[in-house]
Amino acid sequence: MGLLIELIVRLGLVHSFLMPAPSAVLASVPMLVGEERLLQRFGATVGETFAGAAVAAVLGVSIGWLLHRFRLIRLAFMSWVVGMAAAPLILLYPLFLIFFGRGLGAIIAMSATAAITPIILKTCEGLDGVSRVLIDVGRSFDLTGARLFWRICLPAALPTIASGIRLGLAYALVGVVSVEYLTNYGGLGELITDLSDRYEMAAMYGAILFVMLVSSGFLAMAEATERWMRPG
Amino acid sequence: MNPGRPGSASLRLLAVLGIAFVWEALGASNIVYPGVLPSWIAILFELGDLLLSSAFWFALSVTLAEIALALALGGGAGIAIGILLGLGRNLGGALERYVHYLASTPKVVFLPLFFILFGIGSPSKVAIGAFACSFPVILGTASAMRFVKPVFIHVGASFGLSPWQMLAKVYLPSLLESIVTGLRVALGVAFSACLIAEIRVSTAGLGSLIMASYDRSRFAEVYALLFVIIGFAITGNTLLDRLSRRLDRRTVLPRKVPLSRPHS
Repeated sequence: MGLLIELIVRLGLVHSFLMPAPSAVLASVPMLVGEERLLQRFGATVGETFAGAAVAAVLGVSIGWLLHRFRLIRLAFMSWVVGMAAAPLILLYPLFLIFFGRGLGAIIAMSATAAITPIILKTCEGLDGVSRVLIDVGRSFDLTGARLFWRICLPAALPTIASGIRLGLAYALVGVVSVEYLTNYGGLGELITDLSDRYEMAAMYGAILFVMLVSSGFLAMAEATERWMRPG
Repeated sequence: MNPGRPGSASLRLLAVLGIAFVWEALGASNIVYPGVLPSWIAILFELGDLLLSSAFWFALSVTLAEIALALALGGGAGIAIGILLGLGRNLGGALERYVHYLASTPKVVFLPLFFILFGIGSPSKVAIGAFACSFPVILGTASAMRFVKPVFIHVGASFGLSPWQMLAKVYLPSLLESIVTGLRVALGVAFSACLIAEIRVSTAGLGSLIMASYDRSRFAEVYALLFVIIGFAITGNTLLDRLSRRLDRRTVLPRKVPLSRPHS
């Protein structure tokens, strides 16, 4: 595939400005790592993603529990949460700029917002799905209230919650990179804006490929963690 | 959740009123920076002004046309690619992994490429929207291809159907529900991709209106525009959801039952 593209570009079938030769993209790697501090930017983006996902996990699991526990809250809010899950929340980023200014706060808030709906819904689904038998066993050991929740319900719901957090992490990464790109602030997203504004095509392709690599790596890691957590 | 229950609609309404009240109180108290949380009344007035202005309706029609075109192109391509991936079982499965991983990449990073290829006008917005929204359709269609009942394929083959007839009489009817579900996800993706592109490089459409209001610090207008957009996205999603439920009732196939591959 790479060789094919190299050949096409070298033969002049596609202008090298639109589609730089893979060798040129490879040649831009030292520049990306050296001058553009690719690895530091990678660290910033990953840090923001985890921060956003962590905020979303704490809030999302709590809200999911509230929705599971109190019928009235569920009746009042559940359909709104489902509606939010379908809405293109990334479009809210101007609001976060208004709230937090252009900076880390806006990025983390945006990624947490993007990540929270799957976590809420999956937490709710997981807690609702705890089998009656497990709860009855807990009851027969005289577990009540909080202890029943921590010893029985939460562990039983954990695999489902984990898959919610996996989704949330993926959403958070998308949110982080998008806001970085849009506001020209922060890690990898900003790098792509910079390079495209300077028409550094080869390096821009390199950066885009790197983002693809990072997000694929994230997904693979999250899937592996989930498989490891799932019993049996 | 039981939407049909009497009283639940008023409860939901009450929830919104509660949030509006907290919002209003937060905005009126000086905890947050003044002007950041405009009053609901101000937002509603802005909304009224918007609905009366011709610029808004023009921008809305531009944006909705872009999204509709993106969904048609991306959805169509997605269905075709999904079926091809599902047909070529081994190669398709290998390629599907790549699509699966590529789907997790934030699509905005491809925006500079689309601006270079298609210019900064509407075509680049349609292109990024179509590109981004094809992924859920591809993945949904390709995975549904595995659940097409082998019996149907054998029956089709024994009737000597041509490939096109197989497509129209066997595959598409079995895939319909998954395709509608994929399109439902794709709609939201197309909404965000098109609008993000409009916000990033504004020439026309609702995205450019948002940025214009934001740049002039007219925050109530930003809120009003965002509510309009999110309202449209949720309405579109609900309509497709209704459609897929209707299909679900009509369908004769047992859904979501993993079936073994034909032993032939």
